[in-house]
Amino acid sequence: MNIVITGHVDHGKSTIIGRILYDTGSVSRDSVDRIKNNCISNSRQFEYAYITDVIKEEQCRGITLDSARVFFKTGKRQYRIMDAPGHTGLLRNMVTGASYADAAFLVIDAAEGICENSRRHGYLLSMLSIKKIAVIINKMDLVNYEQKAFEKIKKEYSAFLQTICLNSEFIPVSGLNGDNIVFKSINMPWFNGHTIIKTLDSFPQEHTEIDESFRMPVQDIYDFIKSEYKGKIIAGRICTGTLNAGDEICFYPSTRKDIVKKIVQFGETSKKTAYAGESVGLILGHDTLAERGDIAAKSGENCPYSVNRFLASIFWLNNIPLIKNKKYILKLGACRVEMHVEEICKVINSSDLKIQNNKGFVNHHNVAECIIKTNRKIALDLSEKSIQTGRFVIADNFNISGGGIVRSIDI
Amino acid sequence: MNHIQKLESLSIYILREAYANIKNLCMLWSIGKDSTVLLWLVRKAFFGTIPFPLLHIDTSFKIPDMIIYRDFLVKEWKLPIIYGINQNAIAEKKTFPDQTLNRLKCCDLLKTKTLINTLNGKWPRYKYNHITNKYEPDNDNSEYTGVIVGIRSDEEGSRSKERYFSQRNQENRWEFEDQPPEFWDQFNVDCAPGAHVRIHPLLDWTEINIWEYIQHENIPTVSLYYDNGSGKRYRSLGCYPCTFPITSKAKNPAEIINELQNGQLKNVPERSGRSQDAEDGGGLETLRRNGYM
Ligand SMILES: Nc1nc2c(ncn2[C@@H]2O[C@H](COP(=O)(O)OP(=O)(O)OP(=O)(O)O)[C@@H](O)[C@H]2O)c(=O)[nH]1
Ligand SMILES: [Mg+2]
Repeated sequence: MNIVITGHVDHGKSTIIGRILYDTGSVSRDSVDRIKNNCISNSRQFEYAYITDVIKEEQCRGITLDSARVFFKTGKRQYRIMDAPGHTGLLRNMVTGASYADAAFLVIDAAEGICENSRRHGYLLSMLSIKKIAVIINKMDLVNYEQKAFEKIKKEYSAFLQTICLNSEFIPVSGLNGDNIVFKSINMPWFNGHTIIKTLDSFPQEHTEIDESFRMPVQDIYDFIKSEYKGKIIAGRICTGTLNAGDEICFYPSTRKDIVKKIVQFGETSKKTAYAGESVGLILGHDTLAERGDIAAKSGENCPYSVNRFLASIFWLNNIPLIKNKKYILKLGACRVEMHVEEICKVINSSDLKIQNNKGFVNHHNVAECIIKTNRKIALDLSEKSIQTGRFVIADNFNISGGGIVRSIDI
Repeated sequence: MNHIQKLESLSIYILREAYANIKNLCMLWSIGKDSTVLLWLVRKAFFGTIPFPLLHIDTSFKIPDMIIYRDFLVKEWKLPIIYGINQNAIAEKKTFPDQTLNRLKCCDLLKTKTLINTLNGKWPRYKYNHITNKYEPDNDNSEYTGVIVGIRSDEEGSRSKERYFSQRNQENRWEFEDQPPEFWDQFNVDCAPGAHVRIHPLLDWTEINIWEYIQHENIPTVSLYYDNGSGKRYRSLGCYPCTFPITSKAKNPAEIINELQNGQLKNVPERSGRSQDAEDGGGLETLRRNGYM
């Protein structure tokens, strides 16, 4: 299961991860001793955060610069944890870390309280459609482990989460001393909820999307000369649904149809059925022309839209603001198309949720609703119906600069 | 799908994205277990065809069994392969084994510099000719704009901060704090002229995952990883002056997995048998910022 730890800068994310790894015995004493010795020779105080803040500059500056992946296991399952940076200027690295998560922890410093990025990260998690969130109130040692301080932040932050349609449990911890991380705290007898590890194991298993309508973005068409397979192979990874040999599929936006003759995988006999998540190759009955960027759907199931204009909610991560009528590249599934923003309907500050007055541009870290126009028709879904084919990224000058979800095509 | 099947599917997805988007692509094959798993995944992704050349950076100090195994698989699987080498440094004896350089400097000259200059086509490349069964000078010296590398994030600290697609600037440097975001399986496939993209399909695999996959798929691996009766085996492969075997009686992937999960190697870092890491304060950060894989 993939987990991300988010929250404002210095609220203790890396320390908590270091603690988790240390207290579950996922790092050896040896490696921790090595880090400790390194600290002594650099006359720096040891921090549990250095287990993931491995880059020299990170240790000197005392902040996480880029998301780190770490792995560990409980009796129940295997986890990959992303330690996201909390600094505002590093929001793009937080998004990178959070986008692959099935569930998220959001850390708030008990002494400092809710800060700019406590809310901003919460908001972005909701845009990244991460539904399962738990809030950690850290540094309880600094407020004498008092329940009052915990309840106050809990009340205020729950109210914020409600406005973005999320709810969460709250856990009081001390990363420094290890309270309620792996071991139940003796300093907070008033708390009868779970530790972080118990909460982690209680997150529901990510649901598989095999019951939804079939969607497969076409990644490529292979026709290698020396291949043992005769004819063209349509390559792609199934986003949702299931596909059987013999099914009729339809490619969008062209709406060309064909029969799936074989589902092939190298080195194995061809399969009867393929499921969401699998990377497969399809051999079609009539070698119908499909192209990279098409979305394949199944006849008889609900189908994607073919449009060149739609309403989207977007977030922007580039220092250069997003502006109207400038040419950008939009990427959705395997499709890549030129686009521009026709109208910016609403700009929201992602930290205090205030609506901005200007409508001419979207500054970095902000969220907006806008009408997007592509220079040809593309296939897509509404994000509420089919998230993987209902979201896209926007690239500016070689770099991914923002992301968005499709809200409506009736505009 | 189980965990390994998910990892396999994502890696194949990444490989296909790289091939669809990058014009002049190659893949580093170090002969080790990770890049051999990667080679296996390439065959799966492209249905048995290897649609880009494999690149081996030879240092002339590789453990001889590695080169024998390399050329065995090259013939067996009809692999398109080229290698690059720093002939000057070796001829002038500017190496650690010749006792004229420290380990870090030697890695820089024999591996990083060779990688850079082989990728950009400035130094000679040698290509395997499947008719004559010999390596011959390659007259194609066009620049590779993408290179697939089998690094894993659990190997070493700075690798835990990598992206699946990571840009390297003209000087081959990795500006890790300025990386553009990467999310929703959309990658930064484009790069400025003169720069290149590194592609990392194995980032989410752990060392145990690699061995589980080797076992499940029955992937041929070089015998140096197994105890052949001497009570020693290699955990990680490199140049013989800087890589040392560990004491272990594991004879096959199943026994290696057990040793990693429950035995003497539980929580022991993989590269502890590599001496160049120790010279860099316990990591590869300096080497990697300058272009090392
Ligand atoms: N007193 C106290 N200090 C803590 C606790 N947890 C973390 N700290 C300290 O808070 C500082 C910041 O901790 P980090 O773990 O680096 O914070 P972070 O959230 O990862 O910061 P960024 O990654 O830069 O956003 C360090 O000096 C920690 O020692 C705690 O429970 N109690
Ligand atoms: Mg941190």
